[in-house]
Amino acid sequence: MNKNIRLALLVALVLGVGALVYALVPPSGEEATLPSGLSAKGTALDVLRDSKSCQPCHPTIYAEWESSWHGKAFTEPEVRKLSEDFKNKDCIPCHAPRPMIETGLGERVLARLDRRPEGVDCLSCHKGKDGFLGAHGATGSRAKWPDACDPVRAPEFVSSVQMCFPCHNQHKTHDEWKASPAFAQGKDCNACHMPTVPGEATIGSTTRLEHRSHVYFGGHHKDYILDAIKFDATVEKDATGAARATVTVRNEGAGHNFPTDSRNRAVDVTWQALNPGGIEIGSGQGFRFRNPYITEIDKTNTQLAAGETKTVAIDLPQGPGTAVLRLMYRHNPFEEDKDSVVLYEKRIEY
Amino acid sequence: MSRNSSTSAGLVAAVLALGVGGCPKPAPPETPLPAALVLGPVVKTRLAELRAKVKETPLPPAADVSALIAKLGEADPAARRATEDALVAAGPGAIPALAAALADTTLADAARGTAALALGRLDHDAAVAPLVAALRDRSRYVRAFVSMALGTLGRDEAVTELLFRFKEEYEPEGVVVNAAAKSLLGFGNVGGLDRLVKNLRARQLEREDAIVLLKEIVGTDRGFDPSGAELDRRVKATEWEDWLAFEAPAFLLARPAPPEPSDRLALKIVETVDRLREYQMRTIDDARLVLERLGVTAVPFLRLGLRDEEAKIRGYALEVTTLLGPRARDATPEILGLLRDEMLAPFAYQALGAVAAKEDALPLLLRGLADPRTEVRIACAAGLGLQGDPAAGLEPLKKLLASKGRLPADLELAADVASGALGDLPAFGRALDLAEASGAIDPDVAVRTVEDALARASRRFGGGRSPFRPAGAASPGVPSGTSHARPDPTAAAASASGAQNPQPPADGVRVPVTAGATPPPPDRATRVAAIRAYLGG
Repeated sequence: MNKNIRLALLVALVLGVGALVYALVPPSGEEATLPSGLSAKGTALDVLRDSKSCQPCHPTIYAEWESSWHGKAFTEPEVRKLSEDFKNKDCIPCHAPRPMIETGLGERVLARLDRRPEGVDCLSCHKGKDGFLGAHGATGSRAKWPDACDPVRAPEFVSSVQMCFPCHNQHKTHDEWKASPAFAQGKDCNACHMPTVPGEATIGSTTRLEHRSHVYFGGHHKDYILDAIKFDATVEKDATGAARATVTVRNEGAGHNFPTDSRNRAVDVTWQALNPGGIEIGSGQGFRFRNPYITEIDKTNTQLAAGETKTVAIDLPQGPGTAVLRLMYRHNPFEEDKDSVVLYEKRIEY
Repeated sequence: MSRNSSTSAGLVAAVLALGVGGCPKPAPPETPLPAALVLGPVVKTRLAELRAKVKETPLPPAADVSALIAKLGEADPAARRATEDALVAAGPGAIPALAAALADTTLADAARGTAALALGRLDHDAAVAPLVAALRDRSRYVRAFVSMALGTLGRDEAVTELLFRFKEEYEPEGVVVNAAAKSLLGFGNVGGLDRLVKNLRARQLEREDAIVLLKEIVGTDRGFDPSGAELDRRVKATEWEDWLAFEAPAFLLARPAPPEPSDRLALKIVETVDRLREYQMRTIDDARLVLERLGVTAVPFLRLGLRDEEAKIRGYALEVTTLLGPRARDATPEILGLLRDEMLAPFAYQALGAVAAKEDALPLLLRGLADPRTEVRIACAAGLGLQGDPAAGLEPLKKLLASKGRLPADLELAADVASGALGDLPAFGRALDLAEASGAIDPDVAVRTVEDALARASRRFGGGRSPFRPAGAASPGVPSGTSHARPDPTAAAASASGAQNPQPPADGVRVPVTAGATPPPPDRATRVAAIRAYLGG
């Protein structure tokens, strides 16, 4: 047998046995909890290529994100309807972005070509050029798992408003925030939308038992809106017996206009008048808070700026009756009452 | 790695390493990646050069034409025409007063329209700016008159703004669109083809104008009679829509090149490319639309964008070249140079598939199918589909799909759709199976993608007219569904009710009609069933 062939066979034998031994040696319990392949050679950037691969070490945060509108940014029915199933390709960059650090903080994001159903995924905010960015660094887990993803401590990036505004200022939220008292007070996006909540950020962490929520509280969370927006209504009759309802809506806590976002969101003050038998004798829209889309040149911006109060007067039908005054949150301006969220409802007999 | 999979992998590795087959085969020769582009501030540099070259045209000294201006609003059309003639005879000195009248929203539309027409006939550079500004007027009638006047004036610097009308016009009649398309044709631009075809379904006067223009551009009216019976018109309009979707790209490719742009138009185009660096998507989308509709005129400027140091400009310029397809073939060297662009490589591969000649594209797309980056592999699979060469593309895609089950689902979908696009029509069925079974793919988007690709493939390989219409039919040469025009129901309703133009129309101007309600699209199950029935047949 040729000397070279014998040498090649010997090398193959050694490699083969080595691979067999590697395969048969049971992995340690700790390694088994790591994302697939992370304990093998290769950097975290090579291995952590989707959001799912973050889940084993960050199950709490993963579950929060998965339930969030970031996690559903590409699949949520409302956006599908408004974008015609993303036939409007301009919506894709923000609903399935490439990592922000790649495209530049504060810069327009570009669309991903893969994993679009993951929406605004873990990598969108945490994948850096040289590794993964975290607010704290993996001090606890690094000792246990030397091959863990080893996030770079970069709070200046992951907590930066520049991480949010490439997408959210497409609908002017960042500009509204800069004009708000929250900006003057130094409150950033995370202060309200990513509050610190109990629970370890990384499994087994002994040093960090709380984390920033990745639920991203916002317009889809009614209780959260109710904390920020206040509503009251009264009904008065004049000497002739004519009844007038006065509704006040105050943007007390949002660090931007309400409802923020152009085109899509709308909040209506609605009224309904019932006779003593409970039969409707009148109904209507008292006021609409909304920033119209750029093509709606005949409409003006009626959002409620941060810290401001809007008073709406509504003439009611002749009583006696009951006025039902509501503040309705609509996810799009065409949304029907049955699909909208009743933020407040007040019934007043007159 | 899980215990089971690591065991299996080890055993496989051991068997392979112990060797059953003698010497390893030499690796196939690999096409090297072209050198990376040298990037720089090329767009800003070109912009500065052109700005230094192109000077603003000052308004000529004003002549006293106030008496004539006061007559612009006369009710009698013949009297208005006489006033218009007199203002033209007064010469460029009338431009300041005419510009003021055109901008005066308290005047009647007919008066402002007459001012626009007079400006157009004055044959002076200073008339361009006031006319271009009035293209964004609230009154559609003024916009229509201005669009006509810009054609009469004949200064090509208005081309980008006229093209923008095809995005902005939501008016249901199509009056402005026809006027803009006619003026653009005078500059050798046919960027409004799709809107003219759409106007074949408008009212009679607009249908008449649209078919005259289409005949002038394409050389035939394809038997469309604007005064014919409704059913006949619908059939012929559908034929035109098919032509637009399936034949317009080849027609546009074969068209002679339009005249070289003047420095003033070049400046406008470079400014448009420069806007691709902007932050607001709306601005970028506007710029992208104009560049795409400029067609081959835009290509030298897109090449500048592809060499720019600003990644956003490169990225969006790549997107426009992809939309232009083979019409942007001159940009191949830049596209090749961007294959090494870490951030934009997937977009560059996709552009390569859409734009480059077979000899440039195929070796690199095949190489890219083995790239470790999933996005690059997706782009290469899609690129092979766009290349449209079954002999070269089907086999590699088949090999890729042999790893079915181990591929990322979105890559498998891209490979199936590309295979379908290359004539393996059953692959569309497999794509639907995958979309329904995999949680990693959005089924609605997948069905839309399949419908789009199937429409083109069935036309080419299916031996008959497909019941599907490509999503990109609205814009000729667009390989996949893009939506530049974003019809807004509120705006459409406002437009239909005449809310944007409360003044009575001038004589000779058509009365608005109500926009027809679009029926809701069928649900996914129905669409999937239709595709399967078609494939089964």
